[in-house]
Amino acid sequence: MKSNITYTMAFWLLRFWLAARAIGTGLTKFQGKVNAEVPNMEKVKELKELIAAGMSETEAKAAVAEMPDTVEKIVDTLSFSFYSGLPEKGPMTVETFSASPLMPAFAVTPYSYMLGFALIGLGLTLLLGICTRLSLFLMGLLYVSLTWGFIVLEPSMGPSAAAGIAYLGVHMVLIVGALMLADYNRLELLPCGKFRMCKCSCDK
Amino acid sequence: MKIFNRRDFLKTSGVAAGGLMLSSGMLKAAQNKSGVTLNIAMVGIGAEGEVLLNSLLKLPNVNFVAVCDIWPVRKTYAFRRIFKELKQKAKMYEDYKELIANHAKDLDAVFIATPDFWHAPQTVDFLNAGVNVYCEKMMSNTLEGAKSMVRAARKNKKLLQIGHQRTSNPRYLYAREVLLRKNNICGKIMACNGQWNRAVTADLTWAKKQTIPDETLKKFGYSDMAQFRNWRWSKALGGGAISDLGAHQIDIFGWMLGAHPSRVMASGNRDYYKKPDGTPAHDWDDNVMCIFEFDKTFQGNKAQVFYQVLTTTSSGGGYFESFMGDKGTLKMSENPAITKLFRENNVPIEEWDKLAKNGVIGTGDADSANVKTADARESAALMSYGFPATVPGFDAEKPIHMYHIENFLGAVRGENKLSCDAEHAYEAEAAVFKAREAISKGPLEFSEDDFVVSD
Repeated sequence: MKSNITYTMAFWLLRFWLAARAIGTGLTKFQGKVNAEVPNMEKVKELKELIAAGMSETEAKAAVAEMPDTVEKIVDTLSFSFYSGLPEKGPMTVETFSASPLMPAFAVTPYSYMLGFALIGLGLTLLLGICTRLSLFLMGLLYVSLTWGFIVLEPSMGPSAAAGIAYLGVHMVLIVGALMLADYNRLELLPCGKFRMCKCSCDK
Repeated sequence: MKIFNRRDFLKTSGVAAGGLMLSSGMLKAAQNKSGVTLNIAMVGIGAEGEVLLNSLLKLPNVNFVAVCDIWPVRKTYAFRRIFKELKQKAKMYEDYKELIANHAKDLDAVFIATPDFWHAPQTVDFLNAGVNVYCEKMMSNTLEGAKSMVRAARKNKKLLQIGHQRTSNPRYLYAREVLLRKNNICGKIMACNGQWNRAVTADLTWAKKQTIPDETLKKFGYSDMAQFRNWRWSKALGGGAISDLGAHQIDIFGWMLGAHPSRVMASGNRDYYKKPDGTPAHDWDDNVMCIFEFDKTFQGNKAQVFYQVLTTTSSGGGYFESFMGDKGTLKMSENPAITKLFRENNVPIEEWDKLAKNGVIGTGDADSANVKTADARESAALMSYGFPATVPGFDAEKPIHMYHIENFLGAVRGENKLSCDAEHAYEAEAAVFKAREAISKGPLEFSEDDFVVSD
């Protein structure tokens, strides 16, 4: 392990950024909208305003009694039931990719099932410092696969697919940079080479 | 000992000043009483009631004695607004009869903005209790109801203002008196048209927690909550679009032309809003088109008025009333942005330039006439002009209903006459009911044979 606090801080920044990016993106795959009862903030505000206007608290409470304590609101929530690895609508659905001659149709659905879990899993291993190099490498492969998806769709999507490719390219540069700085890593739960199964030739 | 309330003060000061009780019940006094605080109540705090409340809260010398609505959420809403803005604690009532029993003796005026079918009984009861009434239009869902309101106002010598607010709007007054009459800006008005086109809207809903108990709904004449929320479309409770929207503008045609219509033909269509089983969702027509014929306008000639109210499109620039003469057209709307004047090309531009220079009308827009004609028989496009920058009494910041409310409160204080008393409003009421009758009588029918030339 090399020692240089500046490089260590640089690696940590990349580690946390890439982890946050992967975990956040993975979680959005589980996001959906539900009707939920939320506190009626209008009632709270009204009560405060009445009291501020000089009404006694008892009277003010009576004046807002007809207002419901909670109101139904459509809120975003996370649930396994909402999981969708590839988008359900738009140009990047399972159906679109399955129909492409550049994609192995049999692999699209399993890939869609795996994508969200893989993003979260790799993000967590990177964040916690579990086999950091391997995590970074697998994350890089995952972004390569996503890039391939944009390449496949580029003829139909046009410039927005090209922008997606460039956008993922930035991620790749960050991952490569992180790999190059990995020797300066600190605070790992499971450092590289601790177990036989993950021994590598890195400079530990 | 009798408490000397504000109404007594108004009466006493009016009489002491040598004023006379007019037939309308207006207190006529030599002194200006705009500083006198008036005790008022509001019955009905729905969408329209809220519009009135918004204006009333901005007016000085108004004391809210009570508010009444069968929907607790609306009643308490009004109570809170009044307290927050004026620090007044209005009593809250579900039943207007209780309000009358407890407060009529102290009230100078009541504002009624309930569903149409309640207007007549509530107005009559308040008038009989000696309270001046501002009632939203339509006057009633029946002609008999409207007549009972007029009679109650006459009998009790009390004020009854109906909510055709355009008749108090300084811009409309200016258009009627200065443009159409004094300056004869349109020349001979032979035709008018008007519309209120509104985009498709879903029926009103409500939060389940705010559902009114069934027994309360039944007590006040509603079959269920859906009917309570959408009473405007119910034949038993309201009058549909031709009444809710059309009545305002049909009133304006008669008011501007200074005449009653002589005949009407009309067509209705309710083939848009449907129930799941395919039958019409509403009792009243979604769209109505009608033609009113006037035999003698204020200019002494005949005129035709085409009016449409559509609830399936907002096409054509919303709502306006156009008065089309041989010298020009006045396109009026409560929305100043829509209001325009058009000069016929047979009128020298210098004439209207002079009017613009004198501030009678706004400046002209030469580009508006810059339209290429496609056919030799097509008239050249007309140049448009705006309204003058300043119209006496008009304040662009004021809500459009405020003028009418001020007019009513001024009349209660004895400062002016009502601009739309029940006697006048009944004329529009009669025209709308006759249009509905024309729809039900139906047009001439075509048969398939009419379109086929037989051998």
